[in-house]
Amino acid sequence: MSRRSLRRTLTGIWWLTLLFLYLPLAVVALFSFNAANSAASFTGFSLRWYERLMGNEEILSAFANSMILAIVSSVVALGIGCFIGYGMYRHRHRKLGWLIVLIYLPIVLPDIVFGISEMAFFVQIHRLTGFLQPGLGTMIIAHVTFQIPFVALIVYSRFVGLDPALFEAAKDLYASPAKRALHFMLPTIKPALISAFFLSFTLSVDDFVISFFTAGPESATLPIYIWGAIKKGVSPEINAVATLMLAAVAIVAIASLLFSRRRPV
Amino acid sequence: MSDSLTADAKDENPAAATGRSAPSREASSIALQGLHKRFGRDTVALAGVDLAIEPGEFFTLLGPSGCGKTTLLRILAGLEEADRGRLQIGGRDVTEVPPHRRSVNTVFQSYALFPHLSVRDNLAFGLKMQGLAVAEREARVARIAEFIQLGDLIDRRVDQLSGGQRQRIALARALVCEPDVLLLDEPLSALDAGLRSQLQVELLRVQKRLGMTFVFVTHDQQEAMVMSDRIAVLNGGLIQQVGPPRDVYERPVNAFVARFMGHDNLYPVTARDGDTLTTPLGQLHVEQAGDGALLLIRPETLDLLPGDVGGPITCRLAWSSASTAAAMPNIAWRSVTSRCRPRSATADAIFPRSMSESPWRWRPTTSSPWQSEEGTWLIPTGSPPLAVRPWCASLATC
Amino acid sequence: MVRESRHLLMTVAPGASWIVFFLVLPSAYLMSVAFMSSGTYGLPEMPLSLESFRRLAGFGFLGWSPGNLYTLLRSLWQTLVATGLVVAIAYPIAYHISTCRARWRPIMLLAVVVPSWTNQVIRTFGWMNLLAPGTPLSSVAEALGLVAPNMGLYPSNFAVTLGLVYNFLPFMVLPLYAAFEKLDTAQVEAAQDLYASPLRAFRHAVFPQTLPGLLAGIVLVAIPAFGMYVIPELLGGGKGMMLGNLVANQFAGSANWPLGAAGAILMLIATFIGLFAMRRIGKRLGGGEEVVI
Repeated sequence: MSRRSLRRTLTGIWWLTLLFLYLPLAVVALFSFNAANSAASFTGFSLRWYERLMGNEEILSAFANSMILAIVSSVVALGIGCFIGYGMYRHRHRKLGWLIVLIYLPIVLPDIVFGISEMAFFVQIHRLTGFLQPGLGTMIIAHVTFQIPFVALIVYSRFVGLDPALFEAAKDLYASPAKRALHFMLPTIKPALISAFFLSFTLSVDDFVISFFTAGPESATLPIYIWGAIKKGVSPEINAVATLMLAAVAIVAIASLLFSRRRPV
Repeated sequence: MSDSLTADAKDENPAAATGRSAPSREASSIALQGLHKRFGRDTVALAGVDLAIEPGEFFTLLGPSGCGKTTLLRILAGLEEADRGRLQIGGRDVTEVPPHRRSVNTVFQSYALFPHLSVRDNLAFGLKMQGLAVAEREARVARIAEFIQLGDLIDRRVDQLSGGQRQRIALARALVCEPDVLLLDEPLSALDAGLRSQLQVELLRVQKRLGMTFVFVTHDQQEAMVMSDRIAVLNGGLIQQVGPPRDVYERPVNAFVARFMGHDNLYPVTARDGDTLTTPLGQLHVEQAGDGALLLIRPETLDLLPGDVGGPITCRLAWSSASTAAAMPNIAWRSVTSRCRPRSATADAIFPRSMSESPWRWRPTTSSPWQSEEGTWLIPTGSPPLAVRPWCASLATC
Repeated sequence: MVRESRHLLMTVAPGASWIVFFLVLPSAYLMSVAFMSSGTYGLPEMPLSLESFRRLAGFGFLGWSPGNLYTLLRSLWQTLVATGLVVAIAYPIAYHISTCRARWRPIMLLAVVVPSWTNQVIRTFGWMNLLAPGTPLSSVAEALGLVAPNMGLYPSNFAVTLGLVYNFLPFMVLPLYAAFEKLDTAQVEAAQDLYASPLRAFRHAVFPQTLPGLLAGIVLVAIPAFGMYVIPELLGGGKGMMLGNLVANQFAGSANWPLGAAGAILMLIATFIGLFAMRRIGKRLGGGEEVVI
């Protein structure tokens, strides 16, 4: 095969793959504007599913739950994770194998094992003590658990990317430990904190399996609602909800990308 | 210019300087006693260092990487704690004082300018951390900017600066705090040669004007020779020799210092009879030879000339550059390096380089105190006979 | 040294204890459940027994049945096929991106990754729409005689494979791209200079250099694929069930916690094999630095 025909073949594979990747999403978005009830054919443009959406209390409360869950868990994870990230950086020359295993455990554990472990654990704790009733609280705990490692790793890699002499320069220029934290470390890792927040938020909104197993009867999030609707039988309304979520995730993702681009340091 | 900068004022009127509010205005001395430092179990960085640095001195710590010079500097800054020993700055014991309470500032090798701050805020950082009022801060930043001649650099972002500009900002950021002692950790090593010599001049100007004590770390002996009032050569965590640059260069106390100061022409003395030394180059007659078993010949005192007169052919040209040539005597496997002055007969003969196998002749141009039995001539360049001493100067055990 | 240790503890302790309390303890509890017997409502009870592992192997009240073993084998098979297909697609894609112009590369990578930022349920739902009976794709398949009339392409094992490939493609492209980007082209040129044919140059100069990325990608794909729940649940139907569904069902409908926990232990074992492999790869990639995703 000549170099040029190889090139052409690769370009072909590339566009086919893009088609493969975006076709299902495009179909969801397309059918959300479908005038007909059926998912089999597109009969005309309409916004009726979006209108139906606005009146659907179940969807609105699921949306509220998703937002509360995402924001609260991200804030908590940010608070806890940035300390781990800093600790990992400060003590990177020591043997931290146990910490690394802990950090990577939530990332590598299959969602389903993660979810049912927590569910089984919460159920038993609830039976014994009355605390940790399944609901938003347990979901927040579960989400924080899988967000912490990402926050920690982002903050850690930001610190690692810094010139170590900066920490010494701050000391050298008369900054006490408290002032170093306030005037040097916090402003320097601010971009990392912001992108960690965006990532945590996106992970939380995206998660289905772990939410599904730790949720209570009143705390359905949007993905759980969609799951239920699909299981009951496909309704075109789902296309509309799904399209809105696609758009939201895309916006958040692009925003975080733009933010991380803006600062070259 | 900038009469407010302490030592500047001191140049003109010492009384005025001492009368000013801050007590740390006068240049400070540094005294180190028995400093030990090891990293982990078996990496010894400092193995007992005693040192006294005079107030207002440009003092250089010179040595290869891993010799402990940077550790020593970091202990002065307070960034590292010594395992044993005491440290005094300006007569005060600061062994256990944390870095943010020491009136010592550092110009870091990587400059360590804060990327999240503008140049102006970088300069003001130390003053802000000390709790100075905004007006005072701005005034001092403006004065230092004028003194270092930063011009419009002050309004730039840090990532818009070139290496040389960063270096000057880092210097200004440290100086604006008016410390007792300024520490410089290889501040010029990341710059190219032209900029480097320019900034060497600039640094010297600043130091002389301020009269501040500078402790400078480098691995470059040329730089140390150019800049320093005194040099301490370190190796293996120990100070090998302390003294003015010329002393250290001309009278190195041991083979390490001699090699590190750039001497190639070192020859073991296998036997001696009074002033006659037996070396791989043959027998050399050396006036006023000291004790020791290593002969050092300074290349500056030799000149290699092409010749048609003289004894048997004894050497071949090994290599040459614009100012230096090395020749290999037939009787030994060691070459002899010499400086060839531009436009001298040697330089004309060497360029264009004739690296052929054709032999070279050395012939004496002046009467020489040295003549070996084989008739090879080693020629001192016009220096008076007494200057023989430096070129055979230091004979110490290898 | 003591001060340093206290500092480490103070910064790391909150997060570490959070993960220990809310993940390590629960997983340990789950593992212990696997060794208990199933009581009322399928909840775990004393005495300890290995009954759940017997059940997992197919021994029930009515003698031996192959259902669970089929599920296990299907999980392995689907993982294998999906990983293989993902490699087959991702390898040329990653190479292609690495040869494009530098300013296009981040955008191309983004284009590959963005679909994985959306919710898994929605992505899978998209495939349900595409593969349902009556859709163009299904009609074509029917016309070619690949599926029975009016059956559609889903639910089926094929749909599950497709869903898995779709879901995990980015996880393979990213590490492979990183490997291609670091590729030392001098080695390839040296091979060509030494008269290697394109194929042999690839085998000896290119492939070995991309191997670490490839292995990392396989770990990133195979482990979660083996424990997949959503995709087989939605696209597979009853006959497309995988281990994840078997486990999940024991905690929902036909409750039997110990049986589910026994299944989870299999996944944990797979996970730790993956973690171990990851560490080894991380060390091979150099510096002993951990692989950061």
